[in-house]
Amino acid sequence: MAKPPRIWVSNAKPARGEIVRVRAQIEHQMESGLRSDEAGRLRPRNIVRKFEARLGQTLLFTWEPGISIAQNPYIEFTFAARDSGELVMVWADEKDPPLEARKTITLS
Amino acid sequence: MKRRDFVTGSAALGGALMLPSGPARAQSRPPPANPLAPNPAEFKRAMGEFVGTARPLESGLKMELPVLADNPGAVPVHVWVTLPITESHYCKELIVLAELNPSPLACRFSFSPAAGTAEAAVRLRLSQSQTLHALARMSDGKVLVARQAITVAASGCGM
Amino acid sequence: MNRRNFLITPPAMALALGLGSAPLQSLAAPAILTPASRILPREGKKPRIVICGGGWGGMTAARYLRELIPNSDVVLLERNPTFWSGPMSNKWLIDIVNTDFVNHDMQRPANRYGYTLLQTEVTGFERDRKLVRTAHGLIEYDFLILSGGIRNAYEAWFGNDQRAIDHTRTHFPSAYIPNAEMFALKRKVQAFKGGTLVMTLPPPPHRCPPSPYERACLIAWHIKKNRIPGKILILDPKPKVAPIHMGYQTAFRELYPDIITHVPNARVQELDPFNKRIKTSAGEFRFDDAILMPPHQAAEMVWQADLIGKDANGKPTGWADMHPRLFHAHSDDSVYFVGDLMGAISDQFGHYPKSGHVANYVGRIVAQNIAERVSGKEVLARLPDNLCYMMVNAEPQEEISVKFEYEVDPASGKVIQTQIDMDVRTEDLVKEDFAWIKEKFSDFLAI
Ligand SMILES: Cc1cc2nc3c(=O)[nH]c(=O)nc-3n(C[C@H](O)[C@H](O)[C@H](O)COP(=O)(O)OP(=O)(O)OC[C@H]3O[C@@H](n4cnc5c(N)ncnc54)[C@H](O)[C@@H]3O)c2cc1C
Repeated sequence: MAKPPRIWVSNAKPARGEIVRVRAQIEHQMESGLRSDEAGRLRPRNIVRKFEARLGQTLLFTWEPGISIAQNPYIEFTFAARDSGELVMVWADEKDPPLEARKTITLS
Repeated sequence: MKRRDFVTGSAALGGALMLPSGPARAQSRPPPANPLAPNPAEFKRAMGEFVGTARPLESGLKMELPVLADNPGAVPVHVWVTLPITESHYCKELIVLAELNPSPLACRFSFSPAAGTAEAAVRLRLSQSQTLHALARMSDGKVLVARQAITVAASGCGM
Repeated sequence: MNRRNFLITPPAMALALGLGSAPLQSLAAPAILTPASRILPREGKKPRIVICGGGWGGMTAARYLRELIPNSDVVLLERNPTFWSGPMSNKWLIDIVNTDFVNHDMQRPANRYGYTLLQTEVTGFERDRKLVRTAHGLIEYDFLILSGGIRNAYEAWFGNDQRAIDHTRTHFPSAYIPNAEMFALKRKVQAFKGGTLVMTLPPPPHRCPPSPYERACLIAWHIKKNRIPGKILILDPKPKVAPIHMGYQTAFRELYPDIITHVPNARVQELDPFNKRIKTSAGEFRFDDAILMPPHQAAEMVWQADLIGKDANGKPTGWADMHPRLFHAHSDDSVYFVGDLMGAISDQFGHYPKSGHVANYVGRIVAQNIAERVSGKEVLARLPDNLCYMMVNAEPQEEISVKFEYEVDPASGKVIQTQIDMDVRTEDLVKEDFAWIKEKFSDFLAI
């Protein structure tokens, strides 16, 4: 999980209460555990198991993908901007250290 | 990250559920049980566990997806609760089920009231044409449901 | 910079030799060379490698050949006086980068790396005698690299109606080949007053598949910013936008909803450039202005060398007939292919993407392979990768990207491709794009 996550926010300086839209995508194989390698052995499963989005200390939501989620997982979500703070997103797969991305949200 | 996926002979790209194909490999082992086969028991279980004893309501939850999936390896699915979301009335949990996928529970969202919305868009890989189900549980215990059938254009292991 | 720089050198023009030019003769009448003269005499026993086409691929090969075979005599033949980059040229259309960013001196890299640059037109080959024919004379080679890029196959639309071809080329240029059309297109975009601007896309394979959509986005941005009452109609023979399908769809929908219309399955059936009408498999359209991209094929030089592939029915494939792993002609292993003119690689994905990235990568691989042969070492089959960044928004500047990775399936021995679309448009990708072009330019332009 070396490549940086790609993040887009509709408005990093929203008015209080404004709905902010976020898109996030990472490069990840999402190895399902159902495929076999050249020798016919199953490849060990390694998928993103958990994605978390917080604004400052406040958890907004979590997403738990299963093996039916596409490779290079894409997630789009919205939240109501109640506070300024760092929007922190974390991806955890079954093998590597978690990936993190941040965007500063400042109420205007 | 290394990509050592063999999608030889298939038009579909990037599908991680793809089975190895090609005569060489087919001969090297007896055919395994199809790992892409649907799992109806698991679908029932996941559905039952989420719904419990509630009677799912057919309004308040929307799901948007193409009727025809030209790329079964990345099918866009957009779900959102249309009921007003407040600190005291919000969506706690939302799941997406792909009825005929080998692992039907595609994903689960858990929202905090701080989100102020309950909306997400993700992409699924689908093993065949089927119905997708979205289920949401509200903080008052109500369960909402939305369903849509989808046709997968590419044949067979288009994943 | 002088626009006339992009005119093809007329044969009568004086020789512009880099290294190895003859010492000045006295005041006697000059010895005028004819195309039948032998030029560039060999220096001793040095292996002579002649590269036809000094673009992304050819210039890279020239540099690495000189580096990997110090005792080599490398000659680069290029019809244009200066280098013009396809990558970044869409951004140049709307002044995100200036002319100096995409247009570069070729003599400096030639001098720095130590190869001979000759500005001339390649006109044919005598492969049995290992000779290249040029407008200035005949040149001997031991190894030949064809890296002339693409040609516009207008005859697919117009047969031999030369009047229609000329009218289309001069009034609705596509600017997909480095020549004077680049300036014509930029003038067209800047002068666009409104109405329907039609863009036709060629059927695959063609040069840089994601770039026509980038061009549409950037022209749409120009239209939006300047409040021009114009629309862009993309007539696409493919069933959907690809690659980076979702990234482009989102950009079209969110950024240019009233400007860009993408029409899938629109194969050109009839085109009347005089009355500005076009009939496609998705309907008939009228246009006020247009950017008409005809089908692409390997550059003329591959046809002149008689090295175009044939399909199962014996029809020309339009692309080089080559070994998919070693890049030399199937029928002549002294001839190599680099860049967009290359033929199909694998039945899983067809061609390597016709990109500057791949041309640069394969230019280096072919130099390595020739170096291995010259020194009697084992020739290794190497794989490229590909990476393309595409700008979809100019304010703020945001890009999407697509990556292709290759590996060999050990069971079948075939090359297989993994495609990674990055659909989320971000400003970081713009930074990476500029870092990418800087790295590539420094690799073969010595800047
Ligand atoms: C608008 C646009 C955007 C693009 N964006 C990107 C991008 O973002 N990333 C990317 O990787 N690629 C991009 N490309 C593609 C890239 O430009 C090409 O893939 C690349 O130039 C191919 O390299 P080449 O060496 O095969 O051909 P070229 O670079 O075209 O070089 C061929 C050279 O041969 C010369 N030549 C041809 N015939 C003769 C002859 N008979 N005698 C003498 N000289 C001759 C030509 O003048 C030319 O200089 C883009 C292209 C365009 C048009």
